[in-house]
Amino acid sequence: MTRRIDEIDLPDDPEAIFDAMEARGWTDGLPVIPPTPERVARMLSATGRPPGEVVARLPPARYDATVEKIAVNAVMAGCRPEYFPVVLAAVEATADPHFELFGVNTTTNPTIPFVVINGPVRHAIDVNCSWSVLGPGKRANATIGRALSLVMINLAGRIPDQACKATWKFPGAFTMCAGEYEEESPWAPLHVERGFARDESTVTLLSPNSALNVIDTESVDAGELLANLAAAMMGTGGNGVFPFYGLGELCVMLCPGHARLIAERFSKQQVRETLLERLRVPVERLSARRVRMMEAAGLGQIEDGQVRFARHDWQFLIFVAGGLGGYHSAVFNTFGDSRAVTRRIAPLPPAFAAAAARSS
Amino acid sequence: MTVVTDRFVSLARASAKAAGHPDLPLLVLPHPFETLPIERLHELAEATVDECVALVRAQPPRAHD
Repeated sequence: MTRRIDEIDLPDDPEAIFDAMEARGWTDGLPVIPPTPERVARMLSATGRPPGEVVARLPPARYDATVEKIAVNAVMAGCRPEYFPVVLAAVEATADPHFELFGVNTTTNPTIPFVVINGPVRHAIDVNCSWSVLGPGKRANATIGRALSLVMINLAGRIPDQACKATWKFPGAFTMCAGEYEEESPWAPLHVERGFARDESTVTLLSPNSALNVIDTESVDAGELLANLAAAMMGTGGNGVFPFYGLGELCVMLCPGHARLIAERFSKQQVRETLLERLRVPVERLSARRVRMMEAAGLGQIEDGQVRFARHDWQFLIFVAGGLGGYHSAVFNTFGDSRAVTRRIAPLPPAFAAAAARSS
Repeated sequence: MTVVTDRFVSLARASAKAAGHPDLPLLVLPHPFETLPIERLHELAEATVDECVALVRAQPPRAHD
């Protein structure tokens, strides 16, 4: 299906423009930058792709998400043109069937797309990987995540009550974007683990339902810290211990201090294997009805009187982000069988890069 | 045809339209569904099975682009 781009004349007043766009259902409830033809053209100058190219048809509405329409949403979100290749890669990643976007956009779960950025682009566009990551402050993080959110509203039909049936929504739905703090990670970064070169830039899309802070300021031994982390991850509200989902992912965002301590004794693969082994609780922790349903579903979640949170090491995604000095990591339960998807971010066109260099 | 509870009709309609089947027949059941005791589920199945079969047998709507 198509959704036309209409040009409308509005008074030259920020509040009137906001009111008019809100009335048309084009915003997330926050003010947007008016996507004038000039601004959209500047956004488009940051890609070599033709404006009419259909990048994706995103469920549930499956409107044609063309390069131009995505640019309109990126302008509205407040993106600088140099962020646009990141936004395009993020949209492409959500369209991968493994991401299960229909479920992400329509489920009763609070799930949302979470953008993790790797590679040199983090420095080029000033992506926050450190203090207060996932919080307000940096334009790249704030507006890239928001552009993706507006794309979901305007081009995928993620409209509350109509097609989006989320019982409540994780507030990351407004924007959720982090860079991996690769320079402070003792291990290979996420995108290298997933098959990309270190000097390539990528987005990895995850589908968190929520975030859980894990504080540990006292551990001096890697094993102790990992045990505390595993204990915190054994809340039974996640989809991994729900009858219909046996292969969901668990994402761990380790702060640099925690990562450094764990790496004294563990490779990242050993962390995954340790978590896989430790994350299990006695069936008595769950209701008899749920246990019966899990047994009937036959996904192998119950083993020797215990409920397992995961069955494969690849279900654990681990990356490093956060401020230096603090000892707080985060755990994200992801949605159902949605799998993380990584896409390469295209470099800026030579003409754009040359113009940017001249103006600076 | 698709089975849906009354809380999810708008999603079913939007999805069917996006997939090119705006007239997809829906069997609409009362919500909630998954928390019903098994006896009530059986009663619901008995009460709706004829309508379900009729919808399955009905001529499928023509797909629209």
